[in-house]
Amino acid sequence: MNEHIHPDDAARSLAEVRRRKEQIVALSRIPGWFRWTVALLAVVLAAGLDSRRPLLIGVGTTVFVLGLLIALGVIFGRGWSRATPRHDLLGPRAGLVIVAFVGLVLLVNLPTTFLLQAAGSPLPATVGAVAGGVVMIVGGPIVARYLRRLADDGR
Amino acid sequence: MIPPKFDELIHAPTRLSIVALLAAAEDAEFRFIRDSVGLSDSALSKQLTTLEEAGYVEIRKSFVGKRPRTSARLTTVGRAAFDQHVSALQQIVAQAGRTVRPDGATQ
Repeated sequence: MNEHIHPDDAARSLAEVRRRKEQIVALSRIPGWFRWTVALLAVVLAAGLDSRRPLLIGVGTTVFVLGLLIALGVIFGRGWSRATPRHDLLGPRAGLVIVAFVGLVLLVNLPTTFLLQAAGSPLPATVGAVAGGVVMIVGGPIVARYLRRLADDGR
Repeated sequence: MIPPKFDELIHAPTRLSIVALLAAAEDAEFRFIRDSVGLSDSALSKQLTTLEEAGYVEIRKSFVGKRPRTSARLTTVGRAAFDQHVSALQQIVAQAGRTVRPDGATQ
């Protein structure tokens, strides 16, 4: 029975529950350097494609794939080897927000590339990747803040 | 709506921290729990054993390469008990007409 539990004690316990949840949520948080890395790797890949030289395309693709794998390995190896956040911790809305954000990056990147290509630009994919990268770097923290709020609300 | 049910076993401060940590995770490594909650190996083992005997926690021992890895996870029973306990705490706070601030203080 809980008649003897003081409301202050209950509130402190709820705050502790919240702190522990935040601690786990922090493990799944994508650090800022990851966005910069992905944006930079995308530019390297795009520059390789723009060169139209097989060797540079190969180098760009290799750097992109290896770089991405290493970055993902660092993130998942660091946090998730200690504790695996629950899949439903952020709720379905978080998944939609992430998908929408990736869509937005592509929505900026691809049309920019195709428009510049049509206009005869020598570096359409590179400029498109830079534009997408800017969206990723500027918009990333906003999305991260929103996801944190969703986790706090328990939605 | 989760039915409130106060759980004396979970409410003990150390166990509440452990269970709250596990409730947010699929599973957690023994060392991670120990360091997070600030317990010695033996103290954490004792608490986990208590929770395991109550059917709230499942302890797994495995190997990552050659390194032994001990992890813990909440069972379905443990998760339900935790949810009901949190619901009971919320009810106590609500009945007192208070709200909880992030720092744990009430207003």
